Amino acid sequence: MREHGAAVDALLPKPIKPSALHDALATVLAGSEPRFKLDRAPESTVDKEMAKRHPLRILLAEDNAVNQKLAVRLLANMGYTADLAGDGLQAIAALDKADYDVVLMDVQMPECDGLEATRRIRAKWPDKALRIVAMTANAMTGDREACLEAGMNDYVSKPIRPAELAAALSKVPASSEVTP
Amino acid sequence: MTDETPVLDQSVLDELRDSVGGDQSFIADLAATYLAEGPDHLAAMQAAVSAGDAAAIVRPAHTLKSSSASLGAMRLSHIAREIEFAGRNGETSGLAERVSTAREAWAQTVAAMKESGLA
Repeated sequence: MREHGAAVDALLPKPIKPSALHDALATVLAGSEPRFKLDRAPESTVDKEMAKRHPLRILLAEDNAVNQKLAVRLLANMGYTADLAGDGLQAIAALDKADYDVVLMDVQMPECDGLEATRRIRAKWPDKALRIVAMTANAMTGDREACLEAGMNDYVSKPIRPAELAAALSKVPASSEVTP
Repeated sequence: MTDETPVLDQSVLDELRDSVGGDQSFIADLAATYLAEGPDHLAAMQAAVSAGDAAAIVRPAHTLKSSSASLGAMRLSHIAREIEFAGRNGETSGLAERVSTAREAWAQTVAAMKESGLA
């Protein structure tokens, strides 16, 4: 993950609280390995031609209208169009009909959440070369591990930042590289 | 602690603007979607409280938390997050108060968005 963006040693949520500042400084001064990377970049640094260089068939599974619109827009800024699914069952149905390189999967959705959908997808198509990238605002400990255990490959935090999304997509083998 | 959280965090909005190349009409469209859906989420949360159904509050609270955070409505996002986790833990005590706090934060958010020219 560290090849993209700068590595940072600690994250300090705003508004900054004295205890959090103390903890962050303690982490930095203790000289521990960087645990987070800074994945922010203004849009001007986003590659508008990324989809041409690195074509991908993307399925976006997200039930929240605000976040769906935002994700579609951020993908469009990189030249990508995505098919949409409103929940996990719709995502599975879409995978039944067409091939995708990557599913951007919201973790909590109605009917069938992202974890359950991922388990079903992996069980149904064990040999499918498909990356599943979790999108979640849940900051609970163990969340990332739960995503990986369910069969997801990567993780993007919400609100989605363009550079973080681009980094996750760049790790997906491009459509032309995938043998059918 | 919750009261220290800004109703509308301009740094989040600045970052959102950056991420879409400063496209104000897109931000306005996003805000309109958010403002149109918010009352439905609050109503669903209220219905869950009235029914004493902690599990039913999780989804609308989660959605409100997540879309609020995308638009910088951090105070409401934090309150909704607390409600979501209380719902997940099956806690019904104090849930009615929390939902009424969420309603107040919603009203503050709408006012702040109007003031910022987002709505």
